[in-house]
Amino acid sequence: MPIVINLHPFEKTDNLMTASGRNLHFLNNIPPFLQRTNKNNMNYPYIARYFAFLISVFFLTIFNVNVASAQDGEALFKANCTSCHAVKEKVIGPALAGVETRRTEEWLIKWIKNSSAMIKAGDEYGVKLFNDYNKVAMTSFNLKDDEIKAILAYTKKVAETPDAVPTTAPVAGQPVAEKPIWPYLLIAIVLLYLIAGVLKKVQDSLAHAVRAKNNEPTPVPVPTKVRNREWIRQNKKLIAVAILALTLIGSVKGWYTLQSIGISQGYTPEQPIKYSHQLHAGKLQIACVYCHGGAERGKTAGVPSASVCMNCHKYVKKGPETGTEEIAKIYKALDYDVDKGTYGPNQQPIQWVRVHNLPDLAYFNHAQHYVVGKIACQTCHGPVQDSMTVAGQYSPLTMGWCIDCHRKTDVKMAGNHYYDNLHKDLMAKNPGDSTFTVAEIGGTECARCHY
Amino acid sequence: MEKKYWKGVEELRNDAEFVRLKNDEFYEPLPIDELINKKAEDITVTPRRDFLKFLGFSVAAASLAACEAPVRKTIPYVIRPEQITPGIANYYASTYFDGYDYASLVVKTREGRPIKVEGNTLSSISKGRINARVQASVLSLYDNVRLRGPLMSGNAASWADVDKAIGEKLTAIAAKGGKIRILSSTVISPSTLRVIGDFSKKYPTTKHIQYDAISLSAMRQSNLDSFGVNGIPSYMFNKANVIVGIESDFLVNWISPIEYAAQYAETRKLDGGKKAMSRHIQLEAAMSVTGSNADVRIGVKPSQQGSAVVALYNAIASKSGASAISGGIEGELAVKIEKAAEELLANKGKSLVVCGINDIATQNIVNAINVMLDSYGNTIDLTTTCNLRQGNDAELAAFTDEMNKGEVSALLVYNCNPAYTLPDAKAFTDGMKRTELTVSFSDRPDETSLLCQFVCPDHHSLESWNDAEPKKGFYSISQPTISPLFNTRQFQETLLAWAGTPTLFHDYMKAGWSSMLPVGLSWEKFLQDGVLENTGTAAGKFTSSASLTAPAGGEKAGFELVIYEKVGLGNGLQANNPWLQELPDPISKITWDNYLAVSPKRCS
Repeated sequence: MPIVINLHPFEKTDNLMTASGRNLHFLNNIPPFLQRTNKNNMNYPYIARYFAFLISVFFLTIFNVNVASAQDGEALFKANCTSCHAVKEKVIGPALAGVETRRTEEWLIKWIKNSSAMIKAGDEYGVKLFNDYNKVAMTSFNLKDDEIKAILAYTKKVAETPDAVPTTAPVAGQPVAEKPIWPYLLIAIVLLYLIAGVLKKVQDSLAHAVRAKNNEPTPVPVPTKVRNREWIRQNKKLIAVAILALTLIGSVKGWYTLQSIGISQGYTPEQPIKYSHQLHAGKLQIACVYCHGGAERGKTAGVPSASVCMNCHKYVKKGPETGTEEIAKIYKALDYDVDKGTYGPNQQPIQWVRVHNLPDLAYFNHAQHYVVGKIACQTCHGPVQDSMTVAGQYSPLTMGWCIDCHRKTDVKMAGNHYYDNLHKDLMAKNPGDSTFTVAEIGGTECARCHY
Repeated sequence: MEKKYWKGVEELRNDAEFVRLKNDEFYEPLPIDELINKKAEDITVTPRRDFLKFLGFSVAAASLAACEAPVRKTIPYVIRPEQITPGIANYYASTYFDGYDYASLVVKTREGRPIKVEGNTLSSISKGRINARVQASVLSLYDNVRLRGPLMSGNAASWADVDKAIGEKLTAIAAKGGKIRILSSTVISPSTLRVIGDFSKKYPTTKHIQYDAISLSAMRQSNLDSFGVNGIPSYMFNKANVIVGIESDFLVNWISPIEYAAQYAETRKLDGGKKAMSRHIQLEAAMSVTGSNADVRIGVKPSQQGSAVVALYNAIASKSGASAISGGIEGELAVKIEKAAEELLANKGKSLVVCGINDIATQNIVNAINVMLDSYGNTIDLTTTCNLRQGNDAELAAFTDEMNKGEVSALLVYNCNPAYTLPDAKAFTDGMKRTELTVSFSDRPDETSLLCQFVCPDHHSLESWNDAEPKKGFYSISQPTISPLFNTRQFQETLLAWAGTPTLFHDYMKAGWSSMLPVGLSWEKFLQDGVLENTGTAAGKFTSSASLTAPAGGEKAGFELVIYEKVGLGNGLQANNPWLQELPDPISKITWDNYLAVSPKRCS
């Protein structure tokens, strides 16, 4: 039954709501395919058309008909050219924007196929290019003519599209400066004190009024000191319990405070360069050991030298927010001239702030844990790729924490040739047991780490 | 019965004083009363203890107050060299020879800095061992006393200036035919000798004089007289069943102690079913490490040593059919020497007599003894001569004479300190005043370099390219393990520059070696192994042709002073090395200060 309502002349039915919040227009005009039907009468035509539409959309998307050229210029460009060329800026080779205006297509095809031959033959433009670009010849590519044409079409297209406006995405994961709460607490305490004072006054006046009504005399005011002493005498148990509780809480808190001296869990110092692990390790999925290669070789994982950064940042010169400025810091450390692509003599290393500091009395070997123990970096260093922009210490790194893991973790001996002999011996000595914790193979002996 | 160890002669004699102080923890009385009663300003006793006390408290207070751990930085390389992984050491083969000790080394480096030297097991000479002085030598690389660059008349100068000034002077000297003398300690590097040869070609009046601070010149001369071989033999202590050492500390100080100690140890170890140890008899004046290892140690006064050797010769000669020499010894000593002779003869061909006395007559007799005992060819190899001591006393004396007469125009001093180590240092320094051009290649200011007009500091051995031929046919190589720390230049490169053919010594050496390397051994492999040995030559037999006379001098009465080499000091080159200064003398256990050891019998 349609629901009727009186409308003002200018009101539209679409936006009307009933008191219970239901949309009137929709309720008065329910589409047929959603109308309730009786059980045996399915609305085939509507349902069928609806699903037919869905299925055709599905098939169209999976067989992506590319109306563009038979060769994919973009894919070819990305596979062959991006190691040395970008379209709008110089990388190792010149920027490719407008290259079709500078050279004929025929020349370009010949050059791409074998530039060294052209330079040797004495092609004037080719020799000039060779000399201008650090005397590094372009590699020869074994591409078909129409593949090259597709690449050139792609570069032309990219050169013509305007630069994307950088989006101001919120910087994720930066530590937000917390607003201090103590001013609010202080105000609350003062307010409560005032309210208590007011309430006391009210209580006093009420008691006075009651006394006045009952014609009782006003009591002699007792001095504060006497009152307090009386209160103490009457509430000895409460006071005793309170003192005991405070002592217990104080000592427990004190104990934990003393225990945590020297533990830097959560230490996330500001670094000289705003390097984001979340971007590099997380989004770009660069393996940990690409930079921290020491972890698979020896005891210190180490911090990469600036030369490792240059493997990518020779090409990646800019970033959307802080990238350009921070990447420029790498160039400064290496005295790298971005335009010329040369390194100068005034190099100075980047002084990173060290996050994980184990005392000298403890020996820890990364390679043993990473290569032999096959423990993922994230086990001890936390979800670096998910939530860390600035590097921080995730684990307490106390001896107790190490021993704890040694007692609980089973050594990955299956298929691990390092443990072949040991595994055999252990299985022989412990029948029925096939997994062994680190503690069981002697990993908690003092001299393992303190020698 | 339980062994009781006496803590000194006082305990043995049970002196009253000793018994009184025995129960105190400290032998010297502690100034406890003074400490209690003293006022704060009166800190005159044990200021060291107070200093530590104050320091400890203030540091503790400061750290508690700070309550925050200090910020630590981690600073990687700007461009990390491929071979270096921080935390992992790289090992390089090298050689140590400072004119005194020879050892083939493996140097452990961390991030391009050598931190430890160990022996190279591939060397059949040093057999993977080194001694205390070589072990401590790594510290001398980081010695703050080292010169930072060349000096001209005591003032810092550049290499260009120094080269120009010296070049001019040398040309002037060569023009008037003035004598040029290169004075050095023993040089065992064939490439360096070639460089000196090239320099001599440019300046034909050059002569290279080698001398040793502790000379073995008498042995060389004696070998020349007796066998016609101007050299020192290689000894094979591992082939000897009976060893008699006469005033020769061969385990720690004599010629090639690392090699001899390794060989000696072989005969003393009863591994693998061996039932017999070698027998070692030592005749010496002062107790040495070698003497303390001997089975029989016979104390002989220095003035008696010549006669003792004659007595030994006579004892052996009487049973070998040779005639006796006049002289000899009487009494208890003679009996002991007789016994030693018997043992030697019983092990003919497997015995060895070594003598460290620098006297030609004595050495002649010892050579004759060894000939009679059939040692040459068995325990002594004179075919493979040892190059480690090439000093010649006669040449040195002639040279000092020349200098004093003012005949020497240019003096180049390399790897030695003659103003200190020469027996007649005053004559030398006087002569230096008459020399037109004096150059020292020392890497630190020492007595000689302070008197020289020019100092052109050489690299430290751990920064140098070099090679060594300790024995004929045995080679080892030295490669730098760190970039030169200071503005120093290799001696050989300096000489080549002055000879007019400035070349990197590495290139010069490699070029020279390219023809000498055997087929199949590449330069890189040679560098990696560090040693190249031609062990094919057999030891030859020799007969003595020297006339034997009794050594001069005889036994004297009264006190005799014996001056000996200490294990820590050697020839004194590393006297400022803290590790060696802290090394207690193995015999007297005394670490600091000099001392005079006198027999207690003399004191009563």
